[in-house]
Amino acid sequence: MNDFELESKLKSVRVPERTEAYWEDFPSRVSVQLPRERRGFAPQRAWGLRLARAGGFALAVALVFACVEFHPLRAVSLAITKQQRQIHAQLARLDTGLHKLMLNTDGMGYLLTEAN
Amino acid sequence: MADADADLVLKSQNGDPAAFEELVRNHQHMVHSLTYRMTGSLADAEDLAQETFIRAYEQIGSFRRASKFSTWLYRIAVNSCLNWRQSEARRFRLETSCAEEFATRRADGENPSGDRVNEVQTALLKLPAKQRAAVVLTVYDGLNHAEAAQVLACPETTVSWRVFAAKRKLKQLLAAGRAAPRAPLDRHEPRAATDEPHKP
Repeated sequence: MNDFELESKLKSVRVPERTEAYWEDFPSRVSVQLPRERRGFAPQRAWGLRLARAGGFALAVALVFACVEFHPLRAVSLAITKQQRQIHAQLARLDTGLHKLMLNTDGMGYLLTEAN
Repeated sequence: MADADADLVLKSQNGDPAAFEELVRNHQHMVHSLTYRMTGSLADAEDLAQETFIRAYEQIGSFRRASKFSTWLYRIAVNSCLNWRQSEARRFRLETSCAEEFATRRADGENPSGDRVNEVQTALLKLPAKQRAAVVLTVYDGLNHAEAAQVLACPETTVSWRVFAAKRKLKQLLAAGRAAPRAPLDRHEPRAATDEPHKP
């Protein structure tokens, strides 16, 4: 049996006929079974919910990042490190004669200016 | 999408039940044919057709007009049929009831060519459900493989394979006249040419 013969044989079997009354009646039988609240728009609501959840999650991640990145202790630590670098840089620029760095109430800048 | 369908779909999406009823009227023959070919039973075909339209109504808000409405509806109908026939026990019961239904109609003189009808329909029911769906869509409904792939949500090559495997088995069954209703023991017979051996 080739493909053509097979398809002919398959197509020769028709779907049993239903009465005209059946076809007239069927749509209304479906209608009475339709749910009052259609869930058709549920995907849109679900989409909105998903978007809100994703936004909330992103906000939470941003807050955690901000807390870690901009924590006050971290800021102080960074400032101290920066000042240390500046002190070492200034010391390196001194020619000679200054072996001890003294604390001055007017600040480091004044003391170094005096030394130069 | 045909203009008439587009308008009716839009109205249905806006909650107009009369418009949806008109859509049912336009597509009821197509859906009944599909569900009948998949089940071999008029009563089950009717149940599945109703289920298809109810699910379509529930989900019509998510229809984005990316494909034709009929293609979208086909997909719901096929999925309903596939989900509905998952268990082998149910499959066997359906084959038996299908054979009984044909026998009754033949006895009533309703269908003079009942033997041939019974043979073909029983052979179809012996196919794995996905292969049967591929045959129904391509042979009976005239969809090309690309369209059938869209309905079945699988690659075109998978549809081609399913059609090829299904035809090979149908030829064996119909040529040898072995498509008669199965005895209960046949339920344990391993499936020949099951679904695609390679997934592209």
